[in-house]
Amino acid sequence: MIDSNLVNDLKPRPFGLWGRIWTVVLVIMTLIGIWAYYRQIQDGLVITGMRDYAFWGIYISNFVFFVAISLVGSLVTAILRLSGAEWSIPLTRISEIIAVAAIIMAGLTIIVDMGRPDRLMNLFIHGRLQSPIIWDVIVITTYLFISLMLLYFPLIPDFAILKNEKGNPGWIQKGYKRLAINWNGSKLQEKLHQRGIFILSVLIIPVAFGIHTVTSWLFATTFRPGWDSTNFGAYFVSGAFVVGAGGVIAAMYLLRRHYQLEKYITDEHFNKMGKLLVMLCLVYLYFNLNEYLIPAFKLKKEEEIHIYSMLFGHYAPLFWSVIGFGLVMPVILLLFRKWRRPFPLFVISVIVVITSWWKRYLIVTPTLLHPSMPIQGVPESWAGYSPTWMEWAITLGTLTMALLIITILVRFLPIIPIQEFSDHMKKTSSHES
Amino acid sequence: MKARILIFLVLISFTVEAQEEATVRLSLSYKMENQEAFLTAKARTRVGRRYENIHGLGILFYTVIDGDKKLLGDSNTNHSGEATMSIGDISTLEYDSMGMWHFVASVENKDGFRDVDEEISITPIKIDFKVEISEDSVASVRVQSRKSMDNGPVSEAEVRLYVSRYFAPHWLSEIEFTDDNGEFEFSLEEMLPGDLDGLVTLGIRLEGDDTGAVFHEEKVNYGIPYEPDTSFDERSMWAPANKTPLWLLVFPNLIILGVWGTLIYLVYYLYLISRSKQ
Repeated sequence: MIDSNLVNDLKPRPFGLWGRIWTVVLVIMTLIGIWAYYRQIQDGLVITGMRDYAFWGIYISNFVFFVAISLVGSLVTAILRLSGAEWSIPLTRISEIIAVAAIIMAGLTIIVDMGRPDRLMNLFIHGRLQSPIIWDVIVITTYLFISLMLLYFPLIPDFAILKNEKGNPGWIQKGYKRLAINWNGSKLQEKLHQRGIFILSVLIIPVAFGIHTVTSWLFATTFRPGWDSTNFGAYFVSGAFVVGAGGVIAAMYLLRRHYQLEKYITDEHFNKMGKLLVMLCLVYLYFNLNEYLIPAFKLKKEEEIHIYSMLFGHYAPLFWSVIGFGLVMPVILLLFRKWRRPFPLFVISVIVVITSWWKRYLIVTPTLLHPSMPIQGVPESWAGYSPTWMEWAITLGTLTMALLIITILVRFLPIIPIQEFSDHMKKTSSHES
Repeated sequence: MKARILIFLVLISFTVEAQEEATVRLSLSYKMENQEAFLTAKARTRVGRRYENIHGLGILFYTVIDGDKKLLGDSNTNHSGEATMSIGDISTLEYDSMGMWHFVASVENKDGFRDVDEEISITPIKIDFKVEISEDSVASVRVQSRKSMDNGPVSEAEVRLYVSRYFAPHWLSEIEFTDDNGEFEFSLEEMLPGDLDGLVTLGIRLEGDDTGAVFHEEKVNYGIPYEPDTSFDERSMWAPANKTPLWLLVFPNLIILGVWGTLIYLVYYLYLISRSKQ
């Protein structure tokens, strides 16, 4: 039997005034993005700043960012679950929701980057298994399905609880009932349910590593300076965990504050996530060191131009801001407990997420502007890259669409797993008694 | 009154300035490639302190024999300021009593430009090109150049050997000079990459004092036959989708089947949950 107070606290609630304003703003920004994309379909990629040199711009940076943040599902849900870190239970649903929203948008962003999306099916009809792009398509589709399953499986008992709750319109209740798939908590159901979650938790880890490793191979299988690296898979995965953890911390702060969940998402959760973020930042810093120090030591001609532009040249302000504010500062500040309190940690996490987006920009664009082979017969302006406002509108539209998916899921799903949390509480109290 | 006259004079001087026509600096060159001759005129004009190419300027080309001008044709300059015209069949082109051709490029009645002429005189020549290949695959390329009118030798002319490639000649020698008999002999020690049949197009560029640049090419059997890369038709990483390497078909598909098989099994779990009774 579930405590009714617990259900009352954790059941999804209609948005208040701020929730509605937030949703309206997201809808408007998404619509602007959709309108800009409609213009792109009409006129082609010529409306973007991408040309022969920078044929991947902020769309692909954005894609890598989405893939990266989607890894949080495997980090919090699977790795922490399998390692017995039960304190993370209130955070699992949030991370699963973020993972689903991010991976959906990663798939859509790839389509946005296509000059002829009407030829999308050709990718499947004529796709070659030799190409890392096909590996990416396969692994993204697989990861999306696993993420949806990992979101859904733990939700089944919660749907069964919610279907009996009053106060919701009939169609929502019907939806809960259907999604509860006759859950009655029988021993067989419990067994299948627990085993299903365990299998998914195990399965999602290699697939999550696979998705971001394969994304890194899109770059690393070329000979281009800045991408031609055997370190890239680990570098990408470690960076993904940083942005994923930052995203979860930011979301848990906002949701805790909006729904008054201080009893469930405690300061201790922030403390632990802060420590986790320090560790992840240190690992990522280590891979960054490998990524830049070794080529800088060998200093092959092409690498020299690339590294110089990053460390001292055109991209230096952005590069050092990303490293400084996005990695070094969090490590230093979060070593002190007072910075691991909810609000300071929230601010740091938002900075980590923003700088992580720009980090992807630095991975994608500067390399393209230093091609190994000279590109001839093109205007000089094509040798640079400056995204157009249409491109920004589409990119912001995808980001707001991801937030909109999260918002919609938060509206209809319990943010904290009710059944799982209740079981955890009972277990804890029985241990104490 | 004085002021009015002054203003009038100033206005007149501005009008004269505005109507002033630009001077065209015209150059003319002649080139012959395998019996087809071309005239190229380059037009430039002074803008500020430097010369710039004139784009879209109409150039008339003439041949002059004993003072009679005969129009050959016309052509417009491109972005490089060059207008090129093919003379066509040169065997019908008459030369004067000195055995020379005289060509004129002319800018006539063009708005904003002064009329200008440029003339060149060319001695028509014939080239004899022979390739002999010894048993040890050393090729001797003998070039002999003679004047068309009297078969006299073209001596001290620059001559250079090349092999024709897709985009430009690939030079095989330094610039050499023909001897008093108008001859020069090149020697090639190694065979060159050729086409499927082992043929290569060897050529020479010859330029004397008044001959223009004359190109002469011939296909000779001095190439190493090209063997097409058929690996594209075999199973390889760069082959089409239906030629994927077997290992790449087996292992990734095993992984895909393993993961998706597990997922389908979990969907079956959902079915079992939905069917389970209290």
